[in-house]
Amino acid sequence: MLPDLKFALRSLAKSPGFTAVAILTLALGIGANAGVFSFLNTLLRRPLPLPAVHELVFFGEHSQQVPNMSVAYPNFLDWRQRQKSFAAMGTFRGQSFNFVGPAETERINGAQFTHDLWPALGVRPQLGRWFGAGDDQPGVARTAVISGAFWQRTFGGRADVLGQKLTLSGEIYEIIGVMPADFRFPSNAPDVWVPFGLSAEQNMNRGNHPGLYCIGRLKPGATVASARADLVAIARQLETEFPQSNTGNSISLESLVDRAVGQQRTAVWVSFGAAFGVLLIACANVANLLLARAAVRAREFAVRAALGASRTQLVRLVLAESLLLGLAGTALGLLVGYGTMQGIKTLIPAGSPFVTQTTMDASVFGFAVLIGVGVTLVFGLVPALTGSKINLNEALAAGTRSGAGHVSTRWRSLLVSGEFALTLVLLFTSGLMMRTIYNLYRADAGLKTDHLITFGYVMPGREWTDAAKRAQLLDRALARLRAIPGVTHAALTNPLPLAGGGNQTSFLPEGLPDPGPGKRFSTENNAASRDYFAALRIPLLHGRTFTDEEKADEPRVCVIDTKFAETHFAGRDPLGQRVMFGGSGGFTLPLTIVGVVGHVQNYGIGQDTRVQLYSPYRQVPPGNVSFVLRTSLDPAALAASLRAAMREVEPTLPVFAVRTMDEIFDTTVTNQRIMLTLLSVFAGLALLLAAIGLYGVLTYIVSQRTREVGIRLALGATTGAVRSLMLGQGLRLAAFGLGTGLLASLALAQLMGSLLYGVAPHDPLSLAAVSLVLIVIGLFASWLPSHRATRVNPVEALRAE
Amino acid sequence: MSESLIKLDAVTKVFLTDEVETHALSGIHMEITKGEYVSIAGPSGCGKSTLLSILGLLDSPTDGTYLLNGRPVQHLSLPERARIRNREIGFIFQSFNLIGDLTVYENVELPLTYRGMPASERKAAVTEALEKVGMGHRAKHLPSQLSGGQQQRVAVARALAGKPAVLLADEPTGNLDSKNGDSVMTLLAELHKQGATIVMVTHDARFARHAARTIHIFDGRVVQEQVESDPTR
Ligand SMILES: Nc1ncnc2c1ncn2[C@@H]1O[C@H](COP(=O)(O)OP(=O)(O)OP(=O)(O)O)[C@@H](O)[C@H]1O
Ligand SMILES: [Mg+2]
Repeated sequence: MLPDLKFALRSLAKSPGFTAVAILTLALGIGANAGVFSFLNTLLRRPLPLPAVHELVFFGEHSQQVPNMSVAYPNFLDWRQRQKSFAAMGTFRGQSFNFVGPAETERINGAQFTHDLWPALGVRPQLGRWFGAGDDQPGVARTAVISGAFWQRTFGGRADVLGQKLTLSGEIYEIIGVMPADFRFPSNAPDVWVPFGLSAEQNMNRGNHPGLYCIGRLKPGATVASARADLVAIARQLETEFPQSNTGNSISLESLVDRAVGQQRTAVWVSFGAAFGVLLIACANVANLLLARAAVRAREFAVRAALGASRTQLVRLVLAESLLLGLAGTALGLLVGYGTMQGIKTLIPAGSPFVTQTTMDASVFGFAVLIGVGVTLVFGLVPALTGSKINLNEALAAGTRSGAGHVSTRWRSLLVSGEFALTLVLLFTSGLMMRTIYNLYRADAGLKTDHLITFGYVMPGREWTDAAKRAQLLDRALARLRAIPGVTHAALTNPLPLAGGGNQTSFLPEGLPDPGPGKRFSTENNAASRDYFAALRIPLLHGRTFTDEEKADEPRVCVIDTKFAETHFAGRDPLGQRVMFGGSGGFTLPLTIVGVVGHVQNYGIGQDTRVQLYSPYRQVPPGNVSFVLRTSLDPAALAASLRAAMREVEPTLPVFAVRTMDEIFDTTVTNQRIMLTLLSVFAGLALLLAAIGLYGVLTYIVSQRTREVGIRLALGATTGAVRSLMLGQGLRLAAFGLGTGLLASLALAQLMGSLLYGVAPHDPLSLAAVSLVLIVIGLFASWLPSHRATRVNPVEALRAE
Repeated sequence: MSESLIKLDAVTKVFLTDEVETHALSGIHMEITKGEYVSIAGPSGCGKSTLLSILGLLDSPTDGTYLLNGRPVQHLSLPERARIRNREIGFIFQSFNLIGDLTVYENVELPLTYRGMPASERKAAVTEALEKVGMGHRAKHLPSQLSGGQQQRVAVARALAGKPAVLLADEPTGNLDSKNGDSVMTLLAELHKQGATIVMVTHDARFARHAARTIHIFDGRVVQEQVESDPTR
């Protein structure tokens, strides 16, 4: 084999153009695959940096009105005590803090854990200890565990960090542990974890669902299904024990992996399929190049065979070349794969496991090598077998077309048709994504996101428990923000629409009997300031909005959306009607409806939303708000001046999450945008490769048919007739691929239904458009070779060799 | 009676390759009348094939005039030349040059297709031509399924089918054994008797005698014209 390799190396070096194109094509195909495979690897093998991650389940409560409800802390305590499925279980909620740092106060992400969550997750601190049961209760000394990144950033990685004090949202904590750098739970890049038990006393109401969710580690033998059954049974017991708060409440439970990456599963598989399509096309092209080469070398092979080379020896010779090309293509492909992986990561939100968990590890490496070897064998074998099957007499005789030429033309045509079929599928899927994105951006979210900048603001701790004091601060902030040059509207709200959050509240329309626990109505419940609706261009349809003159001690008013009006006041004028809020003591707090505004798709386009209700912030000042500024200028340019303004208003409270509303909207369509980018790139690549493939094959066919063209010209064919003949051949190949591709597209596009919005998976418009694109590209690729055919000199073509 | 079909006057052909000029034809004068059977002879490289290409309008002369049917054709456009090749010229090549992917029938039909002849007329013409060369029973075969002699007969049928003004044959027996060669020459002689004008290149003196007149070329010039006393022998 070694002499074969040496010879192959020499002959590849002699045709650098062929060699470069073949290696580059392979590298693109293999690279695209390795790059996307790294994400598939994350999805399938290690979606989260936690030990035995498939043993972990994620669960919360479930009711008719709120399917993914958070857990009431007393329910959690009962579950933990009665369950038989978990070796350990705990609960947590994300929590950010105003951290008084050495330079300034900053907003840091963190979480509250119950102590038993630590053993359930199973990652030990790199320094110090977790907090335990003794730390996780009201009234004890406050302890905190910090992240590796925070340790480096704030304490320079010093070993004496244990025992140091941290001021978080006005409370002082003692650092007792440092987690490893890659521990990120929950997923918002937390810097600090504190015991939930410290605030347990405020959360002992079973009707209160304060944002907690649970994690359990399954015991040996337990499954997701058995754990679900176990907990559902407990929830039933609790329903009978606490009917007032628990009626209608059950469990929603899934594996933690599904929770973390389940929504991206389709996207990853579709991307992988697309990359695989590109690989197949790349292989077809390389096989085509090798076939062409084999045909050119038929004479050389014939001579070798005449000199006594066996078929095996000839096959080995061709295989040696393929092997070298495959190796080089794989090596370069790994680089391309790394680039692809990094490129894709820039499209994904930073906290996603697909960013933090995806690396070019041994299995990605192995996969790249495997497909490299695999495709080398496949594309190497075809030319090796057809090329070595030569008819000595024919190949050595002058002037006749060799048999190998025929066989190879058939193979090459088949390969090119296949390329066109795959390209059509890729183009079609990216066409569907394009329409999806177009529809999403064109859809009416109920508000206008342009020219808006927003930021988060929290008034935490004991210092801000007084609602009147909060209202005053917010008043001053709004006035100051309104004074920034270029700001036309300054408003505040909680929660911010499209940012993923929502508050729900139960209520009763006045006069209706209480349908009882579990059957009450529920509404999105937002706080808003006077200019909020104007700032976000949420249309006022009836009545009025707020005035900023509402007083905490006056009767409460509210504004509802059209969906609320249709659902609860169908055929009646809602203005002046009252809805009743309340709690465990019954529905006694009336809110008078003063206006009706448009419905807002506050969870993103096409996502389910409930009916919506707004209260004036001055009657219920939230501790946590988002400011929204509308400007006639570039909104992003306001960031510095709004920070400065807010420092003037209150220097100890940080401004955070400064983003334009357009950016926030973009994040609601991240999945689709990533898919669009990937599929377009892959489809473009496929189109390019397929065009090159068709061009190559047609060029080859024209060269094979030179003599025939000469004959036809001698018999009186015009150049037009010759051109049509060749164009026809090119288009036939493309059209054959098109037909196959159409069928494949219709079948495969069904799989991506969940990624689409406002477009059917069999969208005829997209199909027609991409077919047209392919035909045009087919014409383009065929034009030059066909033109070359018309330039055949019949005298030369016909001269006996 | 002796109507001039082809008239060459001072025709030259110069090939330029790598700045080397090859004078393939250096002033050819010749006249061929309708119904004549002319053979062209001469040593290898003297310009016979070049001359035939020019006669067949596959190539144009560097200089001089070529009158076909009294009409100067040396400066015609490509489409016009294609048209004349299609209607007035029938080619027979040394290596048959049948199109391998087309059947015998389709090969013969091809020039008629380019002419835009309706299918029914084409069918009649193809059948007649194939019958004439004795290949009517092989219409559905592919060229590769025929012997060399049979292939050349089909090629002759293809040249004939369009009833061209002249048949141009460049060493039609060059790739055939003597028995097959003889039968193709006999076929050409028969066609000549039926009125066909034939210009044939051959350096086989035996076959050249089939022609009534032999034009000898040497170094791109006509050096001798020889009229056979008895063309049938
Ligand atoms: N396309 C061309 N370019 C350059 N030189 C050419 C070309 N075609 C023919 N020649 C030259 O012109 C001369 C005449 O060639 P031609 O093919 O007409 O000879 P021939 O008489 O047919 O020879 P043979 O009996 O061997 O077929 C030769 O010297 C040949 O090399
Ligand atoms: Mg010749």
